[in-house]
Amino acid sequence: MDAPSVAAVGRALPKHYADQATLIAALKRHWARRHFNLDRLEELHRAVGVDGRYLALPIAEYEALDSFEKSNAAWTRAALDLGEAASRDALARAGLQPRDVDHIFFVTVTGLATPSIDARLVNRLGLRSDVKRTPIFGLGCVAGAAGLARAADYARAFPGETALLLSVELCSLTLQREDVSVANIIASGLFGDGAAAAIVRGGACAASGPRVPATRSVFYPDTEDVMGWDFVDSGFKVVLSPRVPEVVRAHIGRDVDAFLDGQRLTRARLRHIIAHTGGPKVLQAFEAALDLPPGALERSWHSLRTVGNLSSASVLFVLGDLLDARVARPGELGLLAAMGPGFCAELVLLAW
Amino acid sequence: MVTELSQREREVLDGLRHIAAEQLSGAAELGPDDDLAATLELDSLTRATLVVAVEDRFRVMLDDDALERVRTAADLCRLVARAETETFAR
Repeated sequence: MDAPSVAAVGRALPKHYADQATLIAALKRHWARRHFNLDRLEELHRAVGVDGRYLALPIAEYEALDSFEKSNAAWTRAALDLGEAASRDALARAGLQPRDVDHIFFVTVTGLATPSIDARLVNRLGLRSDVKRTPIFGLGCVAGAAGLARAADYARAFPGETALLLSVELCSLTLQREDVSVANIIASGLFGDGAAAAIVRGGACAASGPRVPATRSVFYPDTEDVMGWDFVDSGFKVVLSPRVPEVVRAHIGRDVDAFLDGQRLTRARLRHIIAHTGGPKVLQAFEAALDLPPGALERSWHSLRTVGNLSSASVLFVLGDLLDARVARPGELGLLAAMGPGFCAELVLLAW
Repeated sequence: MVTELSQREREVLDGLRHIAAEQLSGAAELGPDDDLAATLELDSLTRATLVVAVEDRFRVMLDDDALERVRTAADLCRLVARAETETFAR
């Protein structure tokens, strides 16, 4: 039996684009309440290598979101719209209809809804009433890769079936404006909003995209403090340690080698690397740890610059860009890799 | 030999100890000749946090090139005291 395939990747960005200068102008007022040298904060904010972000709401509407209730209600509305758009894009690219979906996996870490967004999309998209649903909250940035891996597991178990993986991350709606710590100011420069969807089909279905011959989860013991959320009355407060690039640099080379070794492959066989756009230092850590030639992560760098870190949606955006470019040839291999709170990594082997 | 600090520089050192205790990992016993990066276990983020906190507390803008040359607590105290004088002169 053939391995599952990624038939298509769809993407959707909110229509409200703000360049970094506009965002800084909006945020500076909050910084000025506690900080003296605003130029230094602006430098830190700019150092994340992002030119601008797409926002779930028009920038003027964020001011009124002064409680978790309001932010999360806005999240639910926007997540549904953006999730629908990304799902429809993926289905159209795969030449499928909503009724063809047997299982929907929904990943997010930026908002909460019950019934979950996948349930609401059953109604919106017109998915079948026997569609299986798996909403996954909390994997953070790794969830795009982990979701792809879990969808592939499912498609391996049910080779005649089709899974829709949807990631919606609206990071702007989690921003704690009152938290003017340097860590939060840097985070507020990095994260953007977006949704991505992938169609993963079992080996008995017609395949048009790369296959997923193998995946690997890696957990790093005792690194819980490296990344995550602190849940506070006003919502989700970011925990983002500068140790993240160090953890990536220390582990990812060895983990990738062990994973590939199990497939009787070596790094030299990898033609395409789809790396999570964690930030400039995370991408540099990937480049150093995997000893990549210049330009190997250009699609990740470009995605980071143009839309920011979209958390779990990022790797799917980069994969979508790679598929659109139609540069991968039959016989070529790729590795999709992301890391997230745990701390953990998820590796997905792709074969064209 | 311990570096001699002026009255103002000693006050700045007290301020640094407060910042270290409140915003960085411990080391409230910071001495003038202690290496800042080693004593406060500074990484890129905590280093930026220290600089921002110092600028907030003493209401000065520190020059990036001069900051690059700072090694010890006394170096930073002198830089802050000088920046205060320059700010006052302006």
